Amino acid sequence: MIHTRRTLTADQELEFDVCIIGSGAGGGAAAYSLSRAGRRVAVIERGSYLTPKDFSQREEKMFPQLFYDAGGRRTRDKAIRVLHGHGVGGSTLHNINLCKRTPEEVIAGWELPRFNLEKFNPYLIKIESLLGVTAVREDQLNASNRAFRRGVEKLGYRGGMLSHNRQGCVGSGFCELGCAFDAKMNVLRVLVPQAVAAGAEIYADTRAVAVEHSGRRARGVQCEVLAEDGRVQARLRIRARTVICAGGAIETPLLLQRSGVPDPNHLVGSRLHLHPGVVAAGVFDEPINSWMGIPQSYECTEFLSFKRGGTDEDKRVWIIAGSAHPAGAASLLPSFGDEHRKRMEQYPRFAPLSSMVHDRSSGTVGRKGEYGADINYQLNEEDCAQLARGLRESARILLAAGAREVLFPFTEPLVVRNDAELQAAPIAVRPLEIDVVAVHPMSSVWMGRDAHSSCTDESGRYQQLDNLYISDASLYPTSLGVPPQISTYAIGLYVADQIT
Amino acid sequence: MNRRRFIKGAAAATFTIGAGIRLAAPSAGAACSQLRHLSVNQGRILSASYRAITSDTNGAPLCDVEGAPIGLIDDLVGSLSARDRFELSAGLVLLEQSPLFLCGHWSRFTALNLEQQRDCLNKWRLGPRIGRPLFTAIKELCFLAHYTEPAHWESIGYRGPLVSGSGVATALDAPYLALLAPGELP
Ligand SMILES: Cc1cc2nc3c(=O)[nH]c(=O)nc-3n(C[C@H](O)[C@H](O)[C@H](O)COP(=O)(O)OP(=O)(O)OC[C@H]3O[C@@H](n4cnc5c(N)ncnc54)[C@H](O)[C@@H]3O)c2cc1C
Ligand code: SF4
Repeated sequence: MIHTRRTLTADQELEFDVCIIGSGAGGGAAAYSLSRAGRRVAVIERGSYLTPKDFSQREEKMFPQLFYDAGGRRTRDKAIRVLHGHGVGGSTLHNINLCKRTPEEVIAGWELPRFNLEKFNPYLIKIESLLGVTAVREDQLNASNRAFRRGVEKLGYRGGMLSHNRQGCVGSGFCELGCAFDAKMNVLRVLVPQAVAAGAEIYADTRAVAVEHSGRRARGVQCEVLAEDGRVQARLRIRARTVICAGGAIETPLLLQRSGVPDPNHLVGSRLHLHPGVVAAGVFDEPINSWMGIPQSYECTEFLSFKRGGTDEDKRVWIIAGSAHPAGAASLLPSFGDEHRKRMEQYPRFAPLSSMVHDRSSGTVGRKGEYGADINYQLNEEDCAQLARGLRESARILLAAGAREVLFPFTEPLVVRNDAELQAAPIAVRPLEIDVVAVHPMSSVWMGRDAHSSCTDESGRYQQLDNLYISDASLYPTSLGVPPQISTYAIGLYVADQIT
Repeated sequence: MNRRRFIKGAAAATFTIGAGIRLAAPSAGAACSQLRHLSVNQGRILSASYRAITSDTNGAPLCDVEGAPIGLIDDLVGSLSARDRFELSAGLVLLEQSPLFLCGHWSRFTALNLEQQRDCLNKWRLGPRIGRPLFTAIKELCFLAHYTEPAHWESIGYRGPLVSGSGVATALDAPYLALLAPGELP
């Protein structure tokens, strides 16, 4: 059953077989699997239990309800905005539902003898079937993605339709604010009902404060039930034979640090990857209305290759369509006043493209105050160059598709109208000169072979505690180079199977 | 220099400088006395910023609706983490005192005329990288407040939400409400 602040008004001590912290892709999948295997499962979720009636499609209301720090979380130097969500369903509530498998070469590159493609593939297949993943249909391409495809095809670049986990989608375009039409085949719609039917107890509006531990064992989890204004209204103490941290790649390391779990080599929270992206916007003569329809349904992979060695080594940029509702779009534009008004009048004719880098830069997550995140991450020169390449190629694609001009939202905005101008344009990505956005944090509590160089073993078990597991996007030893939801759902199923 | 130390140091310095600056009475808005998360002064600084950011060079607002939606900005600030609120507060102090060291005006930000305020904000926008995030934070708050006001949608061709957002359960909610523990439903 699902419990919320409405009934969680008194302190309680509870006992379960497994306590899972976080109900996103990794936690939701683990809860589904373990409860159906007959375990008594508690899921602790900091965010609220939202249902279709709550997704109002209003930016000012949904950002605080769906995102940590109302979507304003940034790296320490403020150069990169880092978005990740809360709520029963975690970031799968507001993600854009595009589905990519973990690239085979990336898994092979980890060189983990006990975690390989052969072992992991069945979990990818299983989750795709559970979530009803299908290719986006031709008739579901919106104007923005159609223009994108036109440009890619004209240039002869490699591209293709994406897959997604939606059923009953009416193409409203509000995916990043949650789905009022209940069309997302996500944790909330698919996994939570089955986990609850199998006996899982889900505690929403409840923050895991610390994992209790002694010797080599986790003993339980201390939690606080939060009132609407953030005040602590009750405390829960959950004793469990197994504890699974699935708070996502930012919150899981923070929880482990807060809990003071043994970390002799100071690994927890280091090696963070963000898969960050930058946007260039084409301005077309005809209306594009990029906020309408499925936001991302086509991809360009001409500049993304996971092969090692040779010229492909240098291809680490993935290009997809972007979309934003007015406040989000306005914030990405650098200017204000007249210049801004002129640009926003073109809003219906914008077709934004986003370039994300399979990042080699890495950073750290540490505590900032009691519950804040100090994310220290700077893009290295190579990654900046990859992003600059992404911007340039996005512009080439947009111009080929018929854009009248392409806007690069640098602090000093740059506009190009043709290939010659693009050739001459000084496109460089430097911190705080263009808004960089990261929606795929990962690999901050990664798995590996030994306790000296990794946080967990290949089953996701924390190296220093025998019954503490990690089951979220933290586990990857490197950036995946693709959006991580499918991999992370599959990780949840995989980790659940490792728990004896 | 560490950003936080910069903000703290600069805030302390500008408090001191500020003591000597002409205290031009900031244009008050009655709305600023109703705020829950911002102080009256912070409300005035953000109102002035809002006006400068969302109007054109002649002072005409981007859209027909007059006045800063300071109540909404206040709500948005309320949803920030305590640390971010602290940083914003320090930043607003800096902005208020900055005309002297950024633009050579012997005045507070809120006492400048619109053109001078725009000039000052532009200096924050394009100035040293360490100061740019303050401009970005203020701009984001202002645009979030501005573009979520339905009266501002027509001029940018945005049709707005497809649902009423009333929070009233429909058939789509029924299977979800059935999962709730006893006593959860009103
Ligand atoms: C805007 C956006 C769009 C995206 N679009 C896509 C996409 O189209 N395709 C794709 O593959 N990926 C996408 N992603 C990424 C994808 O959603 C995430 O990678 C994935 O959900 C990560 O799963 P997770 O389990 O690691 O964390 P999450 O899904 O983020 O879940 C973590 C949960 O743990 C909870 N939690 C954390 N700490 C605590 C605590 N101490 N106590 C209680 N609860 C806690 C959080 O509140 C949260 O609900 C997108 C992400 C964003 C932000
Ligand atoms: S586009 Fe489809 S999945 Fe996205 S919010 Fe609209 S109906 Fe839901």
